[in-house]
Amino acid sequence: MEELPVILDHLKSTVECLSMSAQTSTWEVCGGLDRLHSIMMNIFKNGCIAINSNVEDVVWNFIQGINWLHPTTASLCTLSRNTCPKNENLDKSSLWIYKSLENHSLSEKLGLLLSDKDHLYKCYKPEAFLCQKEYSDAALLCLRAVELNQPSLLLEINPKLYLNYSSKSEHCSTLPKLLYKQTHSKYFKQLGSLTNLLNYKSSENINEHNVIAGHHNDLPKGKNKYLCKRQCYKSWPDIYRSTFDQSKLKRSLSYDKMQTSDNLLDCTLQGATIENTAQVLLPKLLDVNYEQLLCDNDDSKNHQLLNINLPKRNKRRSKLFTLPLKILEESDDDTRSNISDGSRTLIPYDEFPPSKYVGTFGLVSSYFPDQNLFKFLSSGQFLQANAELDRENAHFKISEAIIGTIEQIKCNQKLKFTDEVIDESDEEINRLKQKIRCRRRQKLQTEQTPTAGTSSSDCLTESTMSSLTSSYCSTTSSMSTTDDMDELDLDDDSICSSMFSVCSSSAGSLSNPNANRTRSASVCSTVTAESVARSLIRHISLKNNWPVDVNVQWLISENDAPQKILPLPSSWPVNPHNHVDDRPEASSRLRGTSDWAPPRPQIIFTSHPSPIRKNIMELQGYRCAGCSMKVAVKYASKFRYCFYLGRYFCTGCHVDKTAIIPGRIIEKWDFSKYPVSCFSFTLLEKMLFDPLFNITDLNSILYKRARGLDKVRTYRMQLHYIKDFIFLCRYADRFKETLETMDAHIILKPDLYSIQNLVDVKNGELGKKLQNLIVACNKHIINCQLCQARGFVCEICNKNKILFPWDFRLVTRCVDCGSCYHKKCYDSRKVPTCPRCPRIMAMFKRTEIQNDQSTVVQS
Amino acid sequence: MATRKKVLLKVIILGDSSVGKTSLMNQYVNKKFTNQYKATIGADFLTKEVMVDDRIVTMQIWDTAGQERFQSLGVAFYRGADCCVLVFDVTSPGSFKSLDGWRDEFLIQASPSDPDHFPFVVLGNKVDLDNRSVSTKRAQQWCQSKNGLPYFETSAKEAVNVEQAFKTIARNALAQESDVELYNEFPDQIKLDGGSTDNRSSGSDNCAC
Repeated sequence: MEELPVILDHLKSTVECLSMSAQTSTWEVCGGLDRLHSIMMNIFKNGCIAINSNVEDVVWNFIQGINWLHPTTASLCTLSRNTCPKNENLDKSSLWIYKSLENHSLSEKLGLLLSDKDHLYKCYKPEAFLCQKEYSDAALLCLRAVELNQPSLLLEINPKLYLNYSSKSEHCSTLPKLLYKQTHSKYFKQLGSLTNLLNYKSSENINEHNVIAGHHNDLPKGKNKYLCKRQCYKSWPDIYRSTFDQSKLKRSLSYDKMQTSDNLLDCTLQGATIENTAQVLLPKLLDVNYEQLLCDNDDSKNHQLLNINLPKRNKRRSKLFTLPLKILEESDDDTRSNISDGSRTLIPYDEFPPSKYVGTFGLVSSYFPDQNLFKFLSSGQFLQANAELDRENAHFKISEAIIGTIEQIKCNQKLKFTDEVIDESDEEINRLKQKIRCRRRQKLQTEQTPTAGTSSSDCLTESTMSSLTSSYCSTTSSMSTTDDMDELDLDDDSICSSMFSVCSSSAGSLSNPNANRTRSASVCSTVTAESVARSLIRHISLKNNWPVDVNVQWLISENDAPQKILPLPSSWPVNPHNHVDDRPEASSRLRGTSDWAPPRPQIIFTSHPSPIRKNIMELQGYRCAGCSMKVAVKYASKFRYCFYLGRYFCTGCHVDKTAIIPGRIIEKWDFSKYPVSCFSFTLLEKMLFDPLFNITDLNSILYKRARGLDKVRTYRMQLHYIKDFIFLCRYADRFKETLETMDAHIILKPDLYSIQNLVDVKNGELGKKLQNLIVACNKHIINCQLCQARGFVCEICNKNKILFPWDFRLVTRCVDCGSCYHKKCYDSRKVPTCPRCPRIMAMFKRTEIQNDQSTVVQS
Repeated sequence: MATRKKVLLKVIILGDSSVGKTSLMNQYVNKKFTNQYKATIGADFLTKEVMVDDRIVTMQIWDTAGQERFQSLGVAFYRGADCCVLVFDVTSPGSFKSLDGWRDEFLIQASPSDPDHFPFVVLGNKVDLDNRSVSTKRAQQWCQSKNGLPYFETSAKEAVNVEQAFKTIARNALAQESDVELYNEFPDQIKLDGGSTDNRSSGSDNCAC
């Protein structure tokens, strides 16, 4: 068991490096593939039930399962030994993994393999890596992050899974590199043999790989969906679980708090729907700061975690669900406390008091006192900040964290040093010490020169790094000039040199020693601020043997720095389209001027009228909507139109990526792909699975126009009723499981759709799936005594036939009391009211009056 | 005459929320009591075999949800009931006054063939508590006014009178039952423990999962 965190951490850091470099060359040239392969091999071998100590055979047996689990996928990956350059070194299973990794299908295959529990347990011990759901899911996420080139997926991995081990070890070994060497030296050996073949392979297959890499973005839908389904966090069934849960009270308490943060969204969404009905000609932009809301939501959820037992795994998806779901949930207080179950535990913040992160804003805003710098940097909260602007802000926060930490370390050292000085006041000794230090420094410098490369590559590195590290350089240098800290080896040289080695290590950690220097240097330009910061601290500590696990002590906490004093722009971002909509009191956290504002993550429910380039370009002031680059009128024709945001972008911000436009689906049931800006593309990709679109509110006519959609709506309504029976039936466990594989909103909120849902409606998949589910559940209900007993009897005709609310053809359901009647019986009544409602009303009135009386008497 | 016939008696427990319906059933069937309150959602049943006058009788006791809040589930199980147990809390006059409503609701939903003589049994629960506010006399008067319904004062917590009450329930239900029909076999009957689920799925449920 203890090795699992190590393996996972290992896998995760490799994937991190791979995806951060964002370069195809790391994958095939620099050995990323090979490293990943050896890790995956290790995972496959972990804990397998070896027969005659032949591990490979068992692994192969396990892999063979794909043949009958999913024959079509299996046939796609028939092993062609000829194409593999190193077949002589690899056994079958290892080759299979290699090939799967190579064509980006391992996550899908592994997901399939894992889905069959029987098969899994036949081949692996229960304590094996693959048998631990948290770990196998984390591994799948890692693989997926590589395959889709989405490092943000890594955030979904519960840090507890791998942090455990690193916190256990002494401070030095928080450095993964060291540990890597210690525990995995054997893999290096193995790797060595692989890397020999690397160059050969890279030269031959480079074209092929480029093709594959090019396809990253239009990932196979099936693969993507499958994984999502698998990882769908069960944030429901609601009442059914939690009402039996003693912590319910606590939960609903925390829910109340959460609601406050939801109100904001509620209002804006309502505003949007009203606007929609008002039929304004201009496309309506709903200014929901998507990220912000998620974040707020997140904060309160983290808070909630204190009260409820921690969910084992994090699921971003389900977190997103909770957003729109809860809006509609407010009326239904029986179910409300439960939707929020699918919260995530990205960061092990449980140890912090809740007040600390209630009411924080923004993407990178959470300051936690006494938090380890490493934890802070690797918490992943910066990765969420995908808007470039927020990334910029992240740099400031990170530099502050680093400065704070370094200052503290220095202070600690100084204190120690003065102690020493008092002890040894002899001048001679001090002089000698000084000399020793100088020597050491010189030695270090000479050592560093080879690692940092030739002087020319230094320049290169420096220039590419400058954007990221200039702030650190200036701060650190100014810091060290202000005090004579030479004794502590904390001077310009040491920091800058460690900076270079940071750069080269973060880029070169994956790179083959022979790999092109320039390449690894350009890799740096995409290294994120926090990773640079992390490696910087790491290196400084390595060099000086400092403990870096000191807690961050913010020099200036956010509370101490009133936001108004900070030089925020006096003007607020103005959307050129919405010049009418002036709200001077609404200050914004986003930057921009009246000429131009950076694009914001907006959810746009409507499509834009066909663009008239001249008008829109004039509105935009002949600036690119993405980067504000000014363009001469005569070259305006070179700008590209983004069909999502309805603006023109320069060719840098708009590379003719195409995407489905949700507004066009909602208005015209149009699923064709249109060119969008890079910004919109990422945004649309991110919200692909988020249930944001309430078709009834946005465009209920669509149900009439799209027959498939109408059918799906009926199915979902039926399932909405069926789920109450299934989840309360103690004989229906297997159906519960099947229902739980569906996204929560599909059943709970029949009118909410994600873009992916709509696509699935269009291609008929969702309808088919729901129909099968309904048929299966119905079969159970017909044969289950308990479910039958919970059905309805028409009290108008009093026949013994049992009715169920989802039999829409025959049954009418009273919206108030929920009783069901035959449609015919109900319609034939003279007064079209439910006969049961008055009785229930009477009974409750009576009890209410009595309760009032009794309280009066008591008081 | 001692018959070998097995009888299934369907007993429905009704009453306001938190009067102790589930506790009474649990005390009777499982001999267990817990102070923790969990609202029942959707009706469910427990079975118990008892001897009534030399006959083995299987009681299928349906515990119901007192709140009318959860409306997506119906009460089709009222149909075919052999006895209805009306429960109130002796410390809560409101729950006592609701008995009328519960009785009416039951008669409408179950629509027994002879509503006037359908066996109801009234239980005043929680007599172990000090703050009693419904007197025995008042309860008995109400029972008298409804054709002399049997009345028991019980405590599910301390198992006071629970056994006796259910014995009467079984006997009254059996009297009703034998009037209507007798079963020889119960092929479809579900028993709660052991292989009951297998029984059920081996029937017409051909689902592949």
